[in-house]
Amino acid sequence: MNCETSSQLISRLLDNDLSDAEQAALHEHLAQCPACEKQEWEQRRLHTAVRSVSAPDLPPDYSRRLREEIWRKVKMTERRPVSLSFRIMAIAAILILSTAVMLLAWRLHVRQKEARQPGVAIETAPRGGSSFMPLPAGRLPKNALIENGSAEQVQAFVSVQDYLGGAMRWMAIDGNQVEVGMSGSGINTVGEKNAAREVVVVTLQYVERQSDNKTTILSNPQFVLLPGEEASVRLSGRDRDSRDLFRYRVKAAKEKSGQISARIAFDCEVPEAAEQRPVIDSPINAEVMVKEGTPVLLGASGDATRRHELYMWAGMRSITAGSRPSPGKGNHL
Amino acid sequence: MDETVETQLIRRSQRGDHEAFDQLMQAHHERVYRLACRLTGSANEADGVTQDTFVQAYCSLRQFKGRSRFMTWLYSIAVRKALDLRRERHSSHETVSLADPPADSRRSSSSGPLETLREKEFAGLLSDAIMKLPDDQRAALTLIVQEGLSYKEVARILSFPEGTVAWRVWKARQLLRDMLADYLEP
Repeated sequence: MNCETSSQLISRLLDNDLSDAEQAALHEHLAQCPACEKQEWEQRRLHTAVRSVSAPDLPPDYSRRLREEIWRKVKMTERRPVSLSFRIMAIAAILILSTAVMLLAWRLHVRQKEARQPGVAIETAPRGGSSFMPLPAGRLPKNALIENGSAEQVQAFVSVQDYLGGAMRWMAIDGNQVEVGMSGSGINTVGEKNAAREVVVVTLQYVERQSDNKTTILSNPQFVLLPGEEASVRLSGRDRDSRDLFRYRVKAAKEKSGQISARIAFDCEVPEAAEQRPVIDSPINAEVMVKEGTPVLLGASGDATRRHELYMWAGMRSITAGSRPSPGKGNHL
Repeated sequence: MDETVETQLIRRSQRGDHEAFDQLMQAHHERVYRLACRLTGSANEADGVTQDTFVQAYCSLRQFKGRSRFMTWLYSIAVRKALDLRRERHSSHETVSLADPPADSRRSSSSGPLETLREKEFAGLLSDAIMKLPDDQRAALTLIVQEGLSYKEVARILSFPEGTVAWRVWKARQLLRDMLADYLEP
């Protein structure tokens, strides 16, 4: 046994923690080692001294004051009893609030998702005069792309303008239907050779969307307009077998901000015998401010099984009479 | 207090019986207060530690499963409170003089005035030396030597293995011996 082990055993001996064998081994070492024997004496004296160090007596009346203070603190920490009805009401309120917050978050998420989808814009809402109930926009059908680009339509406009001597104010084209509007005064505004002009090209698309998201384009006219001129036209539906007639009144011009302001009136005439054909709830009268080339949903009606949507987008084109028009922006969506 | 009576009081307290807990407080508050005095060295702080100990004991009484003595459980709360307080303590405080030897010791002294003076001086130095020990060593020494608990009980209170408790008590004694070497000469 070395002296450090001996020292540790002395400490445990004083605390009555040694077995008989350990005590015997320790005493054997102490008998042979004067330094450890001296330390054992010192440790005993110290042990007695430490045990004799007393804590101060309790202050007078301490017991009563202590318990009063403890009970005061206990009462502060104890919760007030809550009635069962209050708990039920609180839980119900939390559930309702949570549901409302989740619904709000979901709707916000859906709107943000729709806004990110190409071809659909909801940042410009119809304003003024529309009694059409707007619904959230769906995805614009893939076949909404203008495959040949509006440049072809503008070129046709210039050609007809040249042929008619410059009296034409607007032109509407949908498939093989072409309608033109002439100036009654016969003033030549565009036909001057090499005169640079701008025209507004407005495209509208009226689609029927079914529950399986299958879409049918019922009407898809393109208007080429002199700025500020109003086109008024009645066009047949795209379905050759139907006798639907879609009435449009379109007026558009470029604003100083660079955006295009447009006023659109839309209605549909459906023969009484054809009840299965699309019937809009009410005419659309929309006045919108749009970015060039960005489609907007002017209105929608119906329900999940069959719903109708009217989209519109517009762009400016520079033309020179007798020449090919510039391609411009927004030809392809 | 009789162990059976104490067990009944604990059960009643766990069911929210304030009177039963009040009796437990009456039975144990003095020991808790004295332990707090030894660990903090301050009467004011000992009072606060004692109050906090019983408030926490009342609030967490349902967690007491009787695997240790109730007093041991109270001590474990008090030691934590006292050591936490010492760690946080920065401001000045009223220090209790633990230097006065106990009345029994004074009465039993048969030596002369010079020896009595020397004993009082030694007791004062010893109290100061104990307060200079590291907190964990002082706690182990106090619980073993002054409170008379076993290594096993102290291990439970301090959450150390018994061997660690024994080593800390031995280490505390070594430090005290070094600090008070002049007074320990035979």
